[in-house]
Amino acid sequence: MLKAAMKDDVQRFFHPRLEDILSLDATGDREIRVRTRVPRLLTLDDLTDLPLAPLPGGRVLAPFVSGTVSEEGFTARGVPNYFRGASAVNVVEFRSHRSLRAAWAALMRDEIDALYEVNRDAVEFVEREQRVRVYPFLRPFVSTLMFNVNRPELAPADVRRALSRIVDRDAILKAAYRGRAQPADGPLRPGHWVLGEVPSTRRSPASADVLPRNLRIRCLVAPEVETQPFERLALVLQKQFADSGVDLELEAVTMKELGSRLRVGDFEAVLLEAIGGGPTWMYGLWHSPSSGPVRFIANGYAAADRELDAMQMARDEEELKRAVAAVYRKMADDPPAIFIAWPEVARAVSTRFEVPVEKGVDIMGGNLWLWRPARR
Amino acid sequence: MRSITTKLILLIMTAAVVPLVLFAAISINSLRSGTRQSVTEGNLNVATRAAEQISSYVSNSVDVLRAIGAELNGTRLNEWQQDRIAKNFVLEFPEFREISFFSADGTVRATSRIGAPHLDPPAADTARKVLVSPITIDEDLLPTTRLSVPVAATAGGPGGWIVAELSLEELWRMVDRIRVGRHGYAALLSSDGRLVAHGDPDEKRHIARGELIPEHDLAASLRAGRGLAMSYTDDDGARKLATGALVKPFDWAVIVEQPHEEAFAIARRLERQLSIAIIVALFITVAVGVGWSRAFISRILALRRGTEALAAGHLDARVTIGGRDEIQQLADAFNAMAQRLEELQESLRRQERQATFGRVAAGLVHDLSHPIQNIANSCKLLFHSWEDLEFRSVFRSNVERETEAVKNVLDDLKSIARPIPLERSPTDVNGHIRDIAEGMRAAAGEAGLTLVVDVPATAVYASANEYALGRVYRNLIQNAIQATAAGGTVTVSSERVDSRVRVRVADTGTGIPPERIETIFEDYFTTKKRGLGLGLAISRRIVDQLGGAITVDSVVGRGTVFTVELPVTEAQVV
Repeated sequence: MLKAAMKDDVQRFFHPRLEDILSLDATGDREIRVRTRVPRLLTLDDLTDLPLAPLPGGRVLAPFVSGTVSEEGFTARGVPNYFRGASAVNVVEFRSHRSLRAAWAALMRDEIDALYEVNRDAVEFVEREQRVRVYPFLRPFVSTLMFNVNRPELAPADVRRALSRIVDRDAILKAAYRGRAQPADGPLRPGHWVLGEVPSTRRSPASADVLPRNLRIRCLVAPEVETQPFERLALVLQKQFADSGVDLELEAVTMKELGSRLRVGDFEAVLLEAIGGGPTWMYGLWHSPSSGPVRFIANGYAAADRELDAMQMARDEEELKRAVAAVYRKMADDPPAIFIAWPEVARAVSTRFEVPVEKGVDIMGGNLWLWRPARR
Repeated sequence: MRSITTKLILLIMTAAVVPLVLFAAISINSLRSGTRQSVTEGNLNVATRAAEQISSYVSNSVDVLRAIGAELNGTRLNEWQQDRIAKNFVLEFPEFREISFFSADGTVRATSRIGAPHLDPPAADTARKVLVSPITIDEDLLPTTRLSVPVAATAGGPGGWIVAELSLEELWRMVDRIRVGRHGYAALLSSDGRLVAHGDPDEKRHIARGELIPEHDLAASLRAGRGLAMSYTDDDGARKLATGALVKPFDWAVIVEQPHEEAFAIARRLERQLSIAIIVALFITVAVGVGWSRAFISRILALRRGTEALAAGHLDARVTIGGRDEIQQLADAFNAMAQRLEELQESLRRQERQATFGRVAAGLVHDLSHPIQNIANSCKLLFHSWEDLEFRSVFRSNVERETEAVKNVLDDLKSIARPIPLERSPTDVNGHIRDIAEGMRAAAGEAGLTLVVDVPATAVYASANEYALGRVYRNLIQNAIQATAAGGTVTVSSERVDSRVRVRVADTGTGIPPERIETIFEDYFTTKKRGLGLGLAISRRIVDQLGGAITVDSVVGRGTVFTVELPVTEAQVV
């Protein structure tokens, strides 16, 4: 299965370290020998992140496999011979609804059993419904104000560092997220195992002293993104910048326009959600295009390339942690962006199901196979 | 006639039970209506306060928009400054999702949105007053309304409209905070009958579905200016008390509902306690009443029993009653009276005995003195005429006759004291009475009377003692002769009626007064000046012993008829 997955171009694109693998040999029921060109820990990170398709007749490593796909949604079928035990749910049907309210109404009519994501504004309402339980979780995306370091006014690292220090994350959490978020201190989600001590992101209004007078930054915003309170977040940022003498000019763009302008670097700053996966994703997003495999945004940032490369070459966990800490320090010293918040959203599940809750594990992404019909 | 027990029960019912029941009914009714009014007013106050808060909340928001409009319009700011102010305000007042400022012709002058505003200005011909749109539930399940506030033109600016989208989440919180008891909740209905907020978690889904729920009766009633409270039965069959208040001037309605079971729980508990107390009081009243009545009546019954015993002749009957009241005094009086009666009776008996003894003694003197005197006289003559043989014969005859007379008197006394059993044999009644009557014809003649003997010649037999029955006949005929004045008639007759034979002795004498006729057969009764008065008493006893009956009919001044009736027997003397 691993060998089959490694041949997939898409997977190779998203998991560049697969290139290091020379051979894979199963040496026992629970043992695989991997031979690589160079000994990198993150090679295993990529390897374990591969989606595996089941082989006929064999035991599979996932509780569900994909079923039908249509315009209305897709289905996932429970795998009877999942090695950790078969799911009590045979088929999971994912449907898209035109709005949260439509989905909610469907849930109330017992047409569906769960909402994949409840907007933070609606959580308070949904929590009061006795027929539904709400399970909050951090989305693996970090709200980020990314700079284009190619722009002269943002090229100096001390400017970007000062801009990062004038942001009051706690105020943002309160005003834009109603407290349903965690402050961000870097591109990796809080609590990730590779994270050790990280540089402080505490607000320092005095940092504004180093900023040039009448600094004006044009910032792209796509307000139509439903999963983010971008508009209010942008306004709060704008106000905080203005309080420090920086004019953050907000420019509303469509998602399509946003994508095209980011790719060509036609922006000074952009407010977006950055994927907050593991070190591999961090490498792909923040390493300069010259050596990085994936780069959607032409922001010209290459200051952390050396630290990111070192992270890629880490041989063991301690070395990896030291390398990640170095990346964080570099990003704090020469920030490519302001990492603002990890938004919290929620799953909503009908009380018809008993859902086991495990800290740090998404009830849908991690524990769906453990759901059981509730005993009435 | 009602017994005193019934009267006492009626008295207790009237004096104690009925007022108590009336008191209970009035109290429970007052308690129920009072509590209902109190609960209703309490809930109504809650709804009214909530309506005022909501109205105040929206009005405050309108005031904020007026202030924003004044600032945007009157401070001669350039466009981007106005825009930035609008954005700052939307951050400062997070309940506003968008604040946009339009000129009178609809041109956007400032907006809090990044990009174009999502809100539209009112139409150009719209009256310049505050406009509040119906509440809607947006795609994020949140209630919102749109406020349009006119901004007047001033020297600083041309005026226009401030239009804002107001999130009404705070209304949810207001409504959620309203709890009446444990199961009483509030709800907010928009002017178009949409459920906007509900404190009951089970009802929130109606909000999320965006359903237009049927118009609440109370809301309709409120808008029609009618009642502020009503009771109704919900879909689950539970009775609910609903009170409501309008959110003026927006025509929204705040409804506060509470299940009857909870709203009136205290009243029901009080009713129950009051009912129990009254039932206990009733029970105690009735029990005490019955007990007291029994005690009271038992004393009266004791008096009645004593009176009945006294009336039955038991003069030794006494009544023992406790207490120190009038009944006890009555019992004492009764006992004193009985004691006095007993003493009087004893005295009367003593007097009667004395009178009877006197009468018996006088009768004995009368009845015995004559024969004894005759015997004494004969004895006196005996010394002079001893030699006269004829005298001796007469003497002997006189002594035997008078001795017999003495013996008869003594036998009468003996018969009264202790009746002698009679030996009975078939006796021809007709022949016997005829012989007796004929034997007394001489005496009737001496009295100047006519003795008529009307007795059939045929024999009729009765089982009788001829001697005793003869005494009866003689006594009756003798009484008739003595009671009839000279010239009168004494008639002796007999007749057979079926299986009985009747012998009548009738006279034309003075008759017996009715008040005495009942006692003429008693011992020692006589209307004559002399004699023991034993004749008729002995006659009745003899006739009774023979199985017959003796009766009397008498009319004063016309005469008396004695009838002796005996059963006929077919047996004959062989």
